[in-house]
Amino acid sequence: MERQNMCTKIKWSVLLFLTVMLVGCSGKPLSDRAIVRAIFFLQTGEQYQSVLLLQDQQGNSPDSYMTADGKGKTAAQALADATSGLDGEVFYGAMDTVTFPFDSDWQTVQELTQLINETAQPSPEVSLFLLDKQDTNAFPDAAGKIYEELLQCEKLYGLQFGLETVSAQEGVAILPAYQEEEGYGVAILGRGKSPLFYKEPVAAQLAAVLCRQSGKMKVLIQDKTISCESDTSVTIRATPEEVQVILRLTDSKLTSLTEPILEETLEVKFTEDLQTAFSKVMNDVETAQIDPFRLTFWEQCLLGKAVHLPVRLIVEYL
Amino acid sequence: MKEKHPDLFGALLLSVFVHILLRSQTLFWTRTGLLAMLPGIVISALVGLLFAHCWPLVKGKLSGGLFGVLLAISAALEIHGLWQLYTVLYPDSVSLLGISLTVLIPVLYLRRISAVAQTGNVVLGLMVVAGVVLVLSVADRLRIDNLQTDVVSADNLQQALTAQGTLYPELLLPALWPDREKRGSHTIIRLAILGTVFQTGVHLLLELFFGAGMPQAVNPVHQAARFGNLSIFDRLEWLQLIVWTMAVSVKLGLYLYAFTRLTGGKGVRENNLNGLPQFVLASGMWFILCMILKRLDLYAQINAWQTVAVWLFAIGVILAGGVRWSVKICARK
Repeated sequence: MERQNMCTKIKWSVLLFLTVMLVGCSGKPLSDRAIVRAIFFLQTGEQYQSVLLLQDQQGNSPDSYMTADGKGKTAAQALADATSGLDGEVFYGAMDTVTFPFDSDWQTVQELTQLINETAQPSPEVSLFLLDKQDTNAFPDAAGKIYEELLQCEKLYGLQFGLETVSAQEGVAILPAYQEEEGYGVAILGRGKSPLFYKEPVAAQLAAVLCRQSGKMKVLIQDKTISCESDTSVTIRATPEEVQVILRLTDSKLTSLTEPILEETLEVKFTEDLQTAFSKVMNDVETAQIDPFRLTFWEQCLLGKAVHLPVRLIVEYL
Repeated sequence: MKEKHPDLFGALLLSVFVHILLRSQTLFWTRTGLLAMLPGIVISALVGLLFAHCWPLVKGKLSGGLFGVLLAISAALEIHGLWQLYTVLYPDSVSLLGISLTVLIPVLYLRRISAVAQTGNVVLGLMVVAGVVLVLSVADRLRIDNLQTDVVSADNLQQALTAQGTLYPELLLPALWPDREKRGSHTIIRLAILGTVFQTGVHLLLELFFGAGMPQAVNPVHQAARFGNLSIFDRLEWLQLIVWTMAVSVKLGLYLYAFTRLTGGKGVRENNLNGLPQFVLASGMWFILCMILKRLDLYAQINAWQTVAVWLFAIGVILAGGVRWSVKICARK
């Protein structure tokens, strides 16, 4: 009886196996696909340019790239123009970076994000950047180098700006803004508001940390005489008088690059710069009447209602 | 004992979870969902229990035929929904025929009722493990301040109540089992509670991940799983897809049993009730319905109306059962 059951099970397993093999997934070999690693959206006047960075499958190294670009009145047209001339089927599964024009406002970012969500399948996990204005004619040649720099920037600062973060907060989006000469900055975009750009490293990195899209700070302060590196975490506390933003710096490495300075002095100097940057950023967001750091949420949760209390930064070294 | 009265609760619960994961993921904000949770449980459990009591009074060719049609449409929607998911995520990778065979062939093994029960429990366990892996893998992207606070309004509450009060076909199936109590105690009540809690949990996870953008997310559970990484493994969404595919097969096995109970089986023993002819007939019907849905592009409309149809059917049976019961009482007097 047991032997009969076993034979029956084996027969059904073989039948199942054969059926699955015959069903046939119509996948395409890699050589028939155009593997997209990054998409760059550029804008000149009213015209969009879309540059696709493709994996060079004939190249000898993993960082061999090709480009394909297209132009159009809208980003969707530019993307369609870029993909239309490709040999093989476009494959977005390996894409990890998308850049938007540097002066995009909140609405443009939402539209471009939706375009990526709709067209890029299999849906990849991508990092978003605003990219500084480029020479559109020369950009396709420089795209590979810029892509590597963006990956480096993302790794260095532990950035987590993805497609889902753009719409996570109603009416506000925060994106890293990359400029070739000046490096990493942050843009705060509000619906119907002018974008707020922070190129100064302490302000930019503090903004990214406060919105929890980054967990690291790595800056040179005091005319680049002091190097500061630290892991960060942020906690919000609310009292009836104020909202306290507690920035905890763990595993900090504060180093004087000129004369020897005491650790405590370095901490004081870094804290001063952080407080200055915080005041500037908070002043800007309050003037623009946007809440990128979700302080209103914490007021509602901790105090029962949003009352727009004064905000104070507390820096703790652990 | 287990073969004589296999407990189908695991398979039923798995089927409810599949419905939630494949078809209804972002229907309400968590805050309103929590407020509507208890009323939703009470309503769906009450209707399920009343249906189970009224069904023996009204079962016949017409009611059995209508129930069979409802289950057939539900099965076709699940197969079609799974195929659509694969098509959106991996274009041109699998045909509808391929997906149909992938989920229907295992139902050959699941013709035995004990196999449905055992496999259902195993796949349910796998789904729980996959869910834990998903949460752990995206834990660093879940943000408490993504929860929406100003969402308690009449419209949102109504939407949440409609979603939480969903009458899954699985809540009606226990009425068909021969020994209802031996299929697990308080099956309908447990199904209603766990289904509603699970739905709220999924919405909470998605709101923590997507924030205000949750309603616009396409295939949100899968999209969130894409970001997950644990140790050296990343893009763990494939784990969810595998488990969901297995779960659809178990659901179809359960529906085959229900179909056989409605039409009469060939087996002498309850465990072997589903004969090969029933399997072939049911599979063929489900596949043809899938093709019709695909050809006429009716998936979205039928999906939207399926819940209404289940409600109307259940209310119709309850009312008819109530009338028959009243007539019986009056006749005795």
